[in-house]
Amino acid sequence: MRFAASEISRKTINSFTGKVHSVFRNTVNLILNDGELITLRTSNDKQQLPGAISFSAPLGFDFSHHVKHGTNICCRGGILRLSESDLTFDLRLAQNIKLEKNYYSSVNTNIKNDESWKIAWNFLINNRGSAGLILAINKIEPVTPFDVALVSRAQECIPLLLSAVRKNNIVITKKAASRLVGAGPGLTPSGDDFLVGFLTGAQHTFQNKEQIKCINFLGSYLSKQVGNSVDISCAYLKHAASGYTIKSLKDLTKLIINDTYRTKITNSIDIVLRFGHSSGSDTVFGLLCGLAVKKPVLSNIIIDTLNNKAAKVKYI
Amino acid sequence: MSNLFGSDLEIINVGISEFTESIIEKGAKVLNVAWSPPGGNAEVARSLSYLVNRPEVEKANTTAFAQYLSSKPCLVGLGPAKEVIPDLPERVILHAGPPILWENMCEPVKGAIIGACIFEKWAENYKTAEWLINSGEISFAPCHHYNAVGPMAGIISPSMPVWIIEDSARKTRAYSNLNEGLGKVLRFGANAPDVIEHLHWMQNVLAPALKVTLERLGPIELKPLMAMALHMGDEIHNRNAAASALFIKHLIPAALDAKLDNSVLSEIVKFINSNDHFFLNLSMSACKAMMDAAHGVPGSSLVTAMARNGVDFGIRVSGLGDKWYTSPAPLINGLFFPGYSAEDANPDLGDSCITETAGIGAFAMAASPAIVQFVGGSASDAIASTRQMEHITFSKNDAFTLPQLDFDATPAGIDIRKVIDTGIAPIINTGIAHREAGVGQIGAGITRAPIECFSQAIIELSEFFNMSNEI
Amino acid sequence: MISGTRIIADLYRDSVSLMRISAITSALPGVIEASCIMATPANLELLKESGLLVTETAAKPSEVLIIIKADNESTLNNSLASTEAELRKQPKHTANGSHYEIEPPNSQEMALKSLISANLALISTPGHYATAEAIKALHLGLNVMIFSDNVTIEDEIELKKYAKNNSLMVLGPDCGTAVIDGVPLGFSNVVRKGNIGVIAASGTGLQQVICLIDSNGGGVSQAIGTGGRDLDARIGGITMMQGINALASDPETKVIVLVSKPPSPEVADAVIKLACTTGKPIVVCLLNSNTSQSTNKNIHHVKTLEDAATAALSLSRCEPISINKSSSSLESLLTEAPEIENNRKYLRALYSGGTFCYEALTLLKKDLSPLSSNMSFPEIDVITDPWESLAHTLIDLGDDVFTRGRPHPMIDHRLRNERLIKEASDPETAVILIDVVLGYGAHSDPAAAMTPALAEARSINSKSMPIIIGFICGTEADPQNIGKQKSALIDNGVLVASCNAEAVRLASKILEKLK
Repeated sequence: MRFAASEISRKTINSFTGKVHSVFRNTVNLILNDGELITLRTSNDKQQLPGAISFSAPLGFDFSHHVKHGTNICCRGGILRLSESDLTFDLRLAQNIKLEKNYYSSVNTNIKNDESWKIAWNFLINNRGSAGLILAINKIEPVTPFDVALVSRAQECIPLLLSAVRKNNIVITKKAASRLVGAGPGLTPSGDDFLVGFLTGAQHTFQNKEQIKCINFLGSYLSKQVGNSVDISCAYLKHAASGYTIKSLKDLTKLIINDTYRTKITNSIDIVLRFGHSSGSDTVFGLLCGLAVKKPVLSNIIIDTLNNKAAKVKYI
Repeated sequence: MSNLFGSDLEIINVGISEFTESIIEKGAKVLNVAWSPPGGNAEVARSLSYLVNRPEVEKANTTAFAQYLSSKPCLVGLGPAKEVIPDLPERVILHAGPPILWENMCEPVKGAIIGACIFEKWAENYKTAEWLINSGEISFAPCHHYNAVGPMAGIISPSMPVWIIEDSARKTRAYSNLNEGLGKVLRFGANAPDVIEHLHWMQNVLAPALKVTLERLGPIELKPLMAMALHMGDEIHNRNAAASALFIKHLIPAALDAKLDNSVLSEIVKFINSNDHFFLNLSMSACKAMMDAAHGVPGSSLVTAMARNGVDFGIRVSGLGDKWYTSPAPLINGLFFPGYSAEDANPDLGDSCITETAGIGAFAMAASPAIVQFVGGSASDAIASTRQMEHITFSKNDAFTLPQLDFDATPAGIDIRKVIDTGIAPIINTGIAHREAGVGQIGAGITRAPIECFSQAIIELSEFFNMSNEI
Repeated sequence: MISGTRIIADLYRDSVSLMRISAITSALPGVIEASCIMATPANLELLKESGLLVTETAAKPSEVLIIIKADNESTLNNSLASTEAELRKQPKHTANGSHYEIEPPNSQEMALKSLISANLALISTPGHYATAEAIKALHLGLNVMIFSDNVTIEDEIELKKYAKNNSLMVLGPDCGTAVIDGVPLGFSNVVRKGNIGVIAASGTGLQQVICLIDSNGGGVSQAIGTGGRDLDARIGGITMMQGINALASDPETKVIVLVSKPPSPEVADAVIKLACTTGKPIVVCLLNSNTSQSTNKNIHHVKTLEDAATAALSLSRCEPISINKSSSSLESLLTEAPEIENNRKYLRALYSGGTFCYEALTLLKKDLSPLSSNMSFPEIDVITDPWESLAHTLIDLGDDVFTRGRPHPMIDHRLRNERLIKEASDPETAVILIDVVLGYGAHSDPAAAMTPALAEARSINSKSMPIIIGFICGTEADPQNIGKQKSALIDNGVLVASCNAEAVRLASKILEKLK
């Protein structure tokens, strides 16, 4: 079956080789020989990550009917072919999407009104997610020993991360982040989702040279985590370090910064929560932490909430 | 920087097959192309090369194919051709296939035209009909030129009832005559009084009754019905039994509701029931509507019509306007009914390969393994045929899925570039007519569209693009 | 209580499925705790901290780890198995690749459906179809090697311009030889992989250089044929320059060798200029050219194919280049040369490789007179009848006049065998010179194919016969068994030199002695 790509967010399209990494109904992730991640998707939800190729497919289309993990893929002359299937995609007909990076634009600024942040925070901690780092701040009690250990780690590392980044302490930043990489359930582990959100929040609000240095360092460190986490999650971390995150998260960030109505913010959070199954809540958690770094009042809310959980804080 | 060095070398070998030896010896991957000169000559090969994977052509094909997919042919009614087909001249007779002069027509078509003249009461008998035709009083045109299609001789004259198919997506229309049934009928060139009488019955009894019934029923979307028939063993060109049965299922309640005269109702039900190919003409006109939707996209290399008049085989291409590209119609070697052989056969005849053009018929042969009992071959050949057509089509039509292929969609959108590049011609399942007028069907078989048609089209399509001879 | 793990590699389930399956397993009777988790280092630590993981595990971050704590061993094993089965459960219709077996493709595009990552089309169709196939290959995003000749120069210009604009390479037309990434293509030899890259506008020129590199212990990173016309002013050396750029950034290549007949001066300048920018040592062999030594210390001009190989080897070993004209092997061959009658005075060289003929002409143009050839060469007469030798004659048997309707002399030796006998019957012939080219595509046993002719040549006049000099262009790894070929030739009375240049020098010395 031949499809014409409708949108692409990648510079060169003519020639690349790789394999199918993971297969879902509407999406396949492709890992190229050089480690780059390309996402081929049917929906047009315009999430805008680098290396995304969108096309419109007929009702009932399901990638798992056509390919499986490890299937070889190759693009030659602008035509992407998936081995052992009849799927081909003409990439030359697509509109090229220019992606917007997160940070250091002149419109970025600190949060105008702390209340917007609090709206988001309260909505989040009332979220009924039952897995991941969100357990460290919401009303659900961790039950399994694994979850208890995870919450404990969150209580240890997140305050450390907040203070280290505010003080531009690269060493402690790295230490705290390293304990979160790869930690938690999910195909993209919770800790990674948290860090993607954290980077996004920080990138939107940091402006002076010193702070940028620290965030840049953190991003650079997180770009090199292949081997410490699931490969696809490492690719997302790398994107985030370069300033590319999904549009719905960027939209939420701007809403919070720009002091918007409650319902707009909560609706926006809903949209993020729907993305990628369980990733959403950890990502929003990280975002709010990233936005709170420069605001001691908000940081303290986070730390207090963490500390109020039953498990004790453990320091290294 | 070229991707030639530093990654695994994988080679496609075209030409001297021995060259693969050194590559295989070294353990590298190589695939040998079973090459033969595309189109059989260098000019065609060169023209083709400008078009292969050309973005403008791919874009045009994407557009044309999307239009084909989105087409929604619905049966909305029927009526006399002269009332229903726009701009139909007064004394015209439409025929199957590309344009052809009377003196060149084959016997079955001539016989059918004579019969039509008598049916229209323009002439009383064969002699006066011939005289009328020779005097130039009657004009001829392909059904296709009036958005119509007809099987075998495909004769449509102004008073004949035709199905009206409306593409509800585009509000355009296509038409076909009603199927007369089996045996000695007009479409095989029979024109004896009983044939004419039957035509009058269809005009005066069958058609009005069906019209009223259809008014009761409302528009019938044809693609879902065809899709179901494909799941029941039809390929809806040479095997229409399931589709015809499904159609009658729709009709009967509405016919009863329409409070038709009992004897009329009885006659029409008996008639339709006795003809397993009743749906063929609806299948053909639905396919005509779908292909009309794809036609007229500049630069597109997709075939939008294939048709034969018993002498010539013609194709039309979406990006090449209304021009016909023709070549002598092939003789078919298939399975013959007892008493007949290849010597008796007429060359390929009829508009019915509009079904293959739209991705069903022989293209969906995998759906109909039983067809091999009529056209020859084995059940696995039926599947292989569908699979082979994937190499010459643009994509697949997921409205038509084939159970025997795990519900894979049928290959559709014949691409003239791929036909010439691979040398694989579109496959067609077809009935075989006796070459004498009026004898009827003498067998069935599998045939291929002549490559020459596609060669001519390739040269013209490349001229369309190749203004400055750039690669 | 007992814990156990299972590692599932190569399986990706989304987060919801992982958690759902964990929950299902946890709820099984006899299971105390269960988890399906991606085996990142952090998660393994957490599992240890929580007491669920007690042993080390080899699981990797992109693998799923099933870990279960159960009442007893049988519950553990059953639940591990059922969890794995649940994870592996494919949706109803799974990818069925079974009908996409490799059926013989009828076109390049059809071939790409099976060999989706193909990156080179090797085209050897008749010439008037070759351009069309090359155009298709380029459109499909493939590099092209055109073995076919009879492609017009206008077509070659268009092909190479298009290729350059699309980051693709066209090797050819009339490119008979290449070795890319160690794979011999076309008429090619099996050479050791190494650090010398060779780019040549001549098939046999390329073969000679890489064979000499190989037989002297060196290796070839890439051997790129550009086609005979690449350095024409109208083409501008597009392929050679692409090759230079590629080899410049190739970490395997330490030395680059360029081989050609003299190109137009502008093209030569452009090529040399580009070569200077690479920072790697470049050996330049433009046969019969008068280029003086370059000011750039990285550029080394040489006069023969043999010198090109020698210089490249020295450079690759970081040794000083010493091009030695009179070697001991030449001396010993001279001593082996039998005495012949004084009235024998002419050289008849019968070449299957055109470049060898050309090289011989460059070496002999000043020494021998009258000298003619069927090849066009500056200041050398073109022979009126290529079938009849006249005085000193060097013949390229690969020329159209000999190959029309016949296979190339490297494959079919009949024509050369007949000519050899004819020259041997001529009482004025002093020396006959032949090249023997091995490798894929060449005759499977050239020595055997020539033996009858060599024997007949000897029997014509047992008392006196011309000296027959030959050389083998081939390697140890070639299919023809170079050792056997050499012995067979020697047994037939052939003086076997190490290369064309040595064979020509030997002939020259013999003829001098006769004067």
